[in-house]
Amino acid sequence: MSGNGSVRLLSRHFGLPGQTHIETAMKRGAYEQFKRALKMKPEEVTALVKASGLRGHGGAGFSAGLKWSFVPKDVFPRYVTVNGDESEPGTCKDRLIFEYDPHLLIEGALICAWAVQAERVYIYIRGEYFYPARIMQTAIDEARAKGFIGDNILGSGWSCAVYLATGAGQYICGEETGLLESLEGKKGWPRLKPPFYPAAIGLWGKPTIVNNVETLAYVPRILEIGADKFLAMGTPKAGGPTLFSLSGCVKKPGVYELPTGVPLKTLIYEYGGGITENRKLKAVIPGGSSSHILTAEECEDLKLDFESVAAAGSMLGSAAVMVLDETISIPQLMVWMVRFYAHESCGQCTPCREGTGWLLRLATRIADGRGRKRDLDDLYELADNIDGKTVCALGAAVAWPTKSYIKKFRPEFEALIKQ
Amino acid sequence: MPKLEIDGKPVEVPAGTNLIEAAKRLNIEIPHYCFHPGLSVVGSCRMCQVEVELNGRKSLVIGCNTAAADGMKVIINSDVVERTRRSVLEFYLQNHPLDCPICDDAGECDLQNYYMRYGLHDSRVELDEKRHKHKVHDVGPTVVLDSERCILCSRCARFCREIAGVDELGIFSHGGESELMNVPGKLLENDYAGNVVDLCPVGALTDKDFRFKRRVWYLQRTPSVCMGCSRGCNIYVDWETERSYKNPQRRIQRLKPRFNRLVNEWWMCDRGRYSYHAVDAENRLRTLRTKSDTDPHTTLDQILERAAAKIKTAISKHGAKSVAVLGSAHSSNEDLFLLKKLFAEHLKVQSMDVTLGKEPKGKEDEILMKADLAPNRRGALEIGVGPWSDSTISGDDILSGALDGDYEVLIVVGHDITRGLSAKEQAKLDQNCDYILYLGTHDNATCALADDVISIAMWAEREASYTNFQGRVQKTQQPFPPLGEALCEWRVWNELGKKLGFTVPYLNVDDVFDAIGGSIASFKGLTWEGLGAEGKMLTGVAEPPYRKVQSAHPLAAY
Amino acid sequence: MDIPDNLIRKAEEIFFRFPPDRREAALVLLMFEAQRELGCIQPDTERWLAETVGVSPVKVREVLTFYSMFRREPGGRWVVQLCHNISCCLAGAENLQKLVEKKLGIKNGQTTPDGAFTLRYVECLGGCSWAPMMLVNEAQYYQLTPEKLDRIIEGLRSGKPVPPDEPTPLLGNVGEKNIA
Repeated sequence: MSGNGSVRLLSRHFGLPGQTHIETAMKRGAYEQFKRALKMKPEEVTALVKASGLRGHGGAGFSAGLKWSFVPKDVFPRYVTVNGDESEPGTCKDRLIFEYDPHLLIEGALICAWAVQAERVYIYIRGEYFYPARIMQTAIDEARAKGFIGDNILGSGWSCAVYLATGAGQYICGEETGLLESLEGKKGWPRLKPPFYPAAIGLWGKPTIVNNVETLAYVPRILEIGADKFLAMGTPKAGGPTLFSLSGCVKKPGVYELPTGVPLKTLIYEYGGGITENRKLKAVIPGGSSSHILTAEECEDLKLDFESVAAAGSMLGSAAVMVLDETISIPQLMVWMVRFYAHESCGQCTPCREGTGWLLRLATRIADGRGRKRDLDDLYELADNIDGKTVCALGAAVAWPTKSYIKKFRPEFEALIKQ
Repeated sequence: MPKLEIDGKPVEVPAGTNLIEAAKRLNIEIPHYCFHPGLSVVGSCRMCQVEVELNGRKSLVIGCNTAAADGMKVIINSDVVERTRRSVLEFYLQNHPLDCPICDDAGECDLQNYYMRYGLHDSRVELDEKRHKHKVHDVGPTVVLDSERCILCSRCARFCREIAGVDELGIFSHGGESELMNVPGKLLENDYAGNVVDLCPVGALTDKDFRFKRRVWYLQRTPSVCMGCSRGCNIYVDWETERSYKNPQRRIQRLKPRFNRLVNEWWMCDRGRYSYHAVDAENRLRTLRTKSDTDPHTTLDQILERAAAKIKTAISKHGAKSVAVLGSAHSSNEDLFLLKKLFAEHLKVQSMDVTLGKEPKGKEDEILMKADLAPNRRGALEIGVGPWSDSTISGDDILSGALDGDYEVLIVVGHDITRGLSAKEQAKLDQNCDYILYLGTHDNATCALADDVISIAMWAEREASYTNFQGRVQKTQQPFPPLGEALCEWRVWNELGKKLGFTVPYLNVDDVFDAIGGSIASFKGLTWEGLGAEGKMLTGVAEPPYRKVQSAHPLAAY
Repeated sequence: MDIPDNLIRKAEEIFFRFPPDRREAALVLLMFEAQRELGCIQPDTERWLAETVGVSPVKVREVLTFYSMFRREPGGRWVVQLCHNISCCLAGAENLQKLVEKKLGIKNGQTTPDGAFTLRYVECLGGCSWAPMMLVNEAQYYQLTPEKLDRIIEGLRSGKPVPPDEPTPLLGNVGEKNIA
């Protein structure tokens, strides 16, 4: 831990000259942990990651090591897909990993592939990330040239290929099964779970680990410092630090790597420099736009770890913290938020397909001052009718913010409804 | 086998049964759109959501994707379930066009039905904003698409891929703009396209043939068997004869497939589906005729007198070899049985067959269609009326023999023997055969050639049994009586027999059928009642193994 | 149709990324490359994709219309994709929208008559801490002010484009010199 309480574990080498080039990265330790992992048994690697308490940083927060252990024993081949679809509004941290330490990601993905004995790794980057994709492709080519990717890697007897794949502009391809559908060359329509849990039935029906970029980027560090030290950098239930994407009405927006469980107020005021123009804090969206909004009171003592945020009635999700000050209109925020989900709905199932558009119409009407008396209650009820009744979590992702905005800021909506 | 409770009622089901199917066993409906037992499970309509209590935990699940488990309690009428269903219905109806007054599906539409059963909520539809998509889109030669009405259950797209093995329909775009369509230049034109109309829960896909013909609540439905080929798919005949101010001659309004697990499952091909037009065609024979320049009218008795006289004379002068019978593989088991009894057994006629080489053949595939376009050639085989009968004389031999003058009396059922014959050859036939008796359903050149013509009833106008190519004996039920003076073929043989000294006590079709069992070994033990709704295999013929009716190269659902 | 050699080479490389019996998986990537090469995906390109990848035309159109980055009509020379999601709006994106509409004389989804610019408001581009953000074709620009936006557009018009913000600036503690 550095002097001012920040923990630069993953981002240790961000911004150092030449870090994207393999020679320079290797001088700073890149691929050393991969070499060590190859000398361990695959199950040992999985056990280590499990013990480290590493949780998924893509939004769901599922234990990474536990997910790796779900791969059925006798089913081959296996695959690893790195979820680089970073599209949750507010989230902007995976981008930095692609751009500043691509080899850390490749190393983490390779260690995961070794642990689950995968024969292919697909790094899936969203289509809009043109520059990061170029950096990643170069890095993959370098790693292959060095022999970290390919046949009989470093004489281990194990072969693994790594390829880049891109999306083409749909948030739903960040949903793990939506991603697999996209990788298979189809529309990103999420699959039914059960039975299509990727670890059991994934890419082309084979066991597939789908992990977020940040999650896998921590893996080499876990091997480096050990499970206990890693766990200690977070909470007992969520080990290691987290990359927080801080944005909105703060003086110093940016990506902050801090211990998981850091108090929200510390992030906003100590690191973020406080609210722009020293205004009053009104609300915070703690985990990307899909999370419930929290009032300033609710933020008072809040710690940013999965359990604490859940206990406060929201979720840590992708740790995308959006700060709202007193000048922000919640009804207007509702329109920006719902518009996103209405555009991103894949259309497969009814409540989301028909409901998101309807929510947008109602929210727009209210924000424009043309709201009818019953519109607010309808809006809440419709969101509730979508929540939990869809094929994938996008239903909940639009319902939770909608309901929480109305529940916690109702008078602001009512003020706009004149009839 | 898991034991569970649905709506408080206990039921035991085979492992792996989903909740919709489990509830069906108790005659309980769990409403659904995208689920179909013949297609893959996609769980996208969200209509079948029910509450399930297991191991102390209650959760809302989709019935189609939840396997029945031991000790499970399925709750289908709680507040949560009712509210969920109503909300899903509301989401569908929000953007659904108000087309009921002009939509074919009204009366059998699952949006209407479920709303009346599970909705009945006040509308929150905002009439000022309508979503526009393709209406009255010519998606293929037999189907019309209205993608505004479409509820995107994807049954049609999945059917084309998984069953027909072709990719002709897709769901394009995303979110609320999702639309079911074909691509330009590629129509919905596979041989099974009509099934998508059956599958569509709403009126998005409508049958061009049936469009605007009748409101479905006027239709009467009679189970029957398709006569399009030797597969014998089980069907329903939907008919209506009272509203004669519209297309008065059209009695059959449409055919629909009827589920039979071992014949056609839920499907039928388009060739069979649209084959019913023949039943009500303009050129149906409605009256009995005789060849006369002055007056073609005659009665059945008169015809049979003439026929019997001619037969008797021919046999006494030249022997039984001077009489030939060209029967039809479209005739029923009963028709063929009496044909054989009268001519082969009683009159000792040897020249008898049902097959002509020039009979039209159709397309055959591995799904349902057979090349043999006649429904009862197997029946003819079993009963002993050629093509492999005791007689070695084939239908082609009979026809060429008739041209050569080998026969005094020629009896033809069904076949238009003038096809492919030049005018000169037809004249030769007329000259060389002293007497030609034709039993047929439609007016054709053979009618003009024949000395006497008896109009016989078609399959949709009678109860009859037919044997499909696998040896399954199936029966039709009679929706409506034959047109005009037409009568069943077996009754003609019955009456003719009386004039030739051959009496049989058959009053009804089931008498005839039971008699078949008495003399044909493979029919032994079969009774008319016993045939039931799904038919029975011939005795000694094994039930064919269950096979999923689908293309040899199915495509994935998505 | 005439497929550029570049694209054919790219196609081979893309097919190589997938198992030989999973050729159809290349569809999304190949369509993406085809659009980069040809500007948009029109019916003859759809046909080429169907034949090359070995999938039905229905599948190709499904993919084409599903993903929001695919264009079926040619766009302007520069496609200005301005984010209008939460963090960018909190940082003033709506004001930028008014300015860019005025400057280019077009609205969302439209192309300038001279074919130079297409304007699209898009969803979160993953630049929230450096909001407001936009993409112009494949170039990323952050921390847009009215002045910076103006400068970028003028730069394109004058043939002296403003270099993109590559890499993304290191805001936050991730760029600090002190290391754990």
